[in-house]
Amino acid sequence: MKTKFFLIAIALLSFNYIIAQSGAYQKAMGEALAKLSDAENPDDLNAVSNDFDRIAMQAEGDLWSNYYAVLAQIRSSFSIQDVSRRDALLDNVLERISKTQEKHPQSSELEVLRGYALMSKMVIDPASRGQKYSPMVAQSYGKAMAMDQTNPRAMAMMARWELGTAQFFGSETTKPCGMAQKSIELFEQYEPKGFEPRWGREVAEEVLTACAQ
Amino acid sequence: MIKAMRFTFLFFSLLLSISSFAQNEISGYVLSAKGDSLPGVNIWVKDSFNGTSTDNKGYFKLNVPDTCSLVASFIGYKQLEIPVISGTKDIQITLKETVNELSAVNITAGTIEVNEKATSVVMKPIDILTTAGAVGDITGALNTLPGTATVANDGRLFVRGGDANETAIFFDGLRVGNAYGTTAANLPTRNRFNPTLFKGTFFSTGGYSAEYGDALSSVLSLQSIDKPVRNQTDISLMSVGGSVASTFVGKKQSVTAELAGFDLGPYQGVIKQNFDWEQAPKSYSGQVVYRHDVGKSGIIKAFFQGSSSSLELWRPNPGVEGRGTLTAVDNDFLFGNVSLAGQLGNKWRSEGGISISQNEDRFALGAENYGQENTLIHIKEKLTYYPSNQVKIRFGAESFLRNYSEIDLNYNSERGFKEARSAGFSELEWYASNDFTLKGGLRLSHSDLTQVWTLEPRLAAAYRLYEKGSLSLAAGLFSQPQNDDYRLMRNRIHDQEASHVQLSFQHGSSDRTFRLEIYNKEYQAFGIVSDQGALARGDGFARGLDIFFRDRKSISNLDYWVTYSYVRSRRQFGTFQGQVQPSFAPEHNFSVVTKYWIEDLKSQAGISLAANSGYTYDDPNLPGEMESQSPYYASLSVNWSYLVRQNLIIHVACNNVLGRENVFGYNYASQPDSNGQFAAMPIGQPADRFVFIGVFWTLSSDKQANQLNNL
Repeated sequence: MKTKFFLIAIALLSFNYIIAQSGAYQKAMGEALAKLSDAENPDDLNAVSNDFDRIAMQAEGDLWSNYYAVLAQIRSSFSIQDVSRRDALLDNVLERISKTQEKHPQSSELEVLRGYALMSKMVIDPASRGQKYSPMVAQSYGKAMAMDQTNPRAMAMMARWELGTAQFFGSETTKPCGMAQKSIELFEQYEPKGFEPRWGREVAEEVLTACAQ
Repeated sequence: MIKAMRFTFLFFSLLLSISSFAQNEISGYVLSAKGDSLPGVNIWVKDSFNGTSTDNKGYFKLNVPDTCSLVASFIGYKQLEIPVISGTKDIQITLKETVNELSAVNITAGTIEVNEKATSVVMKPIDILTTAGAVGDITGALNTLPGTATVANDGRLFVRGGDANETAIFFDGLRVGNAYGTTAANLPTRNRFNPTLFKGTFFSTGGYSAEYGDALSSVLSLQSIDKPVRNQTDISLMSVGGSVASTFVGKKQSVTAELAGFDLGPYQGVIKQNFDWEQAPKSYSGQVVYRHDVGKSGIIKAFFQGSSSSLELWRPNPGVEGRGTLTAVDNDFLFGNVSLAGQLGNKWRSEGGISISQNEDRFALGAENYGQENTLIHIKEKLTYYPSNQVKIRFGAESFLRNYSEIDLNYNSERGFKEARSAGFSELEWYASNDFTLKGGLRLSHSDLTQVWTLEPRLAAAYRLYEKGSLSLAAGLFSQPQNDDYRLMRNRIHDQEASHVQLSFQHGSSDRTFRLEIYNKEYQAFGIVSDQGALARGDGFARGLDIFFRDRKSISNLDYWVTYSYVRSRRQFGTFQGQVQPSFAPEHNFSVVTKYWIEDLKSQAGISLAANSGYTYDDPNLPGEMESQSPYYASLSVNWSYLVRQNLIIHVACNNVLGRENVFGYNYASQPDSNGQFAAMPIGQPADRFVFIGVFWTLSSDKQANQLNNL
């Protein structure tokens, strides 16, 4: 009896494993990623996030399908004007990041997304939320950088965040500009494997352009 | 084992290949139960990667196997599974909205939530610090909201024609005794707690839930911060004192400790005062907050505050030359609070704790010397059960232990009372649909002193009229013990009672809100003093209307709100023979608060106006009771916050900047003069203006932040 349970359990586990390794998973991810890079508006982003959701549902706890579903949702959140809807979406996103982190506690990329989502929450109402969320955003990017010192996205996002803060307070921009430069260098050496993310260079470049002015 | 794996692999490959044979394109349309088409709905064939999303008109096309199940999923709606039978070409899917606490319409009647959630449209926590005129006082900021009356010579919260002690104040769900600092008569006080301690505030101006008892008019519930974000030290230097606070954040725990000292002496040396001070107000206080995570979702919080304050001033006597009577006030206050909150499984939540407030006052009024000692212990446990997303059941029990005494220090005589009050409450909240919420509760309480059992029903409902507009109603019976003066005269005197009914309309979103409320409050069993001593025989009413409008949208960088409250209040209490309009219930109350962010100057400027139609007072030279009324009250306040750096703020504020000489009434001589007239002396403000300058500096020792600096 016991062995039967064991076999069923193993069979179920391997199901996810097989799905994740299967051609169908690869194909679906490839298609969804292509759609993500072509996404132009919130509707596109929502549709792409649906695509990744479907993959994530078949491959429970899978890192990249969850990662991209969340990324698409965060990107679309910036265009939602209704505060309650936006908050609901982002709370959902943050919860999902935490849940995925339980299985992938060492993922620096998930921590970058947390900072990104918190940033979207903060800009809803900087005057009343800044005090609480600003340190949280910086903390997430900082943590992501500490988890993986070669993560160019963590560095780029932090550079953009610090630049925004420096511009707001009219203080020195040397630090964010240096960070953006460092991020570009990291991108040069960055060799993504599998579905590891490729975005973020444009963020660092954007910061450098602002620095040059 | 390997066999099993192989088998599964084969099995699923087979399934995948089968499903790729018999394909069949279907067209579909997804709509809500209300008939609106739903764009962006996730549609897929069950247990596969095969799926799509609906377009912006709610349509989709999908190749599906001959027989399968389709799943439709959309945020805010219940996921639906539909079997597709062979040959189907068109399909229509109707999704039902999910109904839960977050999506359902809010009960807004009498309710003002101050937190960062989108539903708290009236006030945000930061507003307490940035409202001109409030000078960082929680009460000062709440006094700009509908249903309150500014009584500037008192400083406490007066809600809808009620006395200040008709508002019960809670800290993390536990009652605080003596929540305001002790002062002399006609010298305004402040709330004892630093507003930066709290993440949110729930303020109710009536019709509150069965959870709250011993409160006749209003409830103010302060919720402290669960998790500070980082290690930091805050240093404040102010024209009236200073403070240092440090926060240490660990993995599962954090500690914040603060020391503060205030002395108005140097300030009063520079700015002219109307009062004749012997010793300016001085106070010292310390506080510690400790928080520790328990399990996955639980948190234990402990808070402790101790403070000591004193002041001495000369009070002139009407009709008598000279400095008058020397009044001295000394106060020692301790408050401690431990609370534990957390989930018990998926369907239960438990919140409980204990608080202790201990207050000691010493008054010297000329030759009179007396003291007051008050101890209040509150123990509470509350359980919330969620049988489904649409139902919430709350019940709990609590005890209040009270020990109060008044000591005549000249004769060393003491009188007082001890009391144990216990109560149980239960409440059911039902989100019938997203457009209708109903809440009903019962509260049963007993006092070992009055020996009376009290049963109080409470009821509230909300109905969404249209997307942004809702109507809500709240009603109930409320009671609280008599004021201490009456209880000293008659320990077992019956509680005061009130009934509330209120109707509220709210329109708007988080950046533009309009609210209108009408209410009626009937009082009975007020304490009166007759020739038979203290009796619970007074009665009265308060009825009126509150209007609130807040707009953060129309003009960029400008945030403003306007409040008008009308209250008609009459009551028989104390030594009055009939019903009078109490001095703390001005009929017309008006306030405007504006905040303007000036990007170029990295500054926020604020202007506030508080005004009312004047306070009633009793003139012994005229027939009748409380027949006179002071001129209208008005105070214009300004403030300016300058962000020097991210961690350095300079704040300058001035209350009553125009220096209007407000009069709150008159003090009269106890004996008539030779002409048979009682000499009068106006009750005015301690100073024409109050000027505040503060520098707030935050030092953060964030590890990550330091790491970045090494780049």
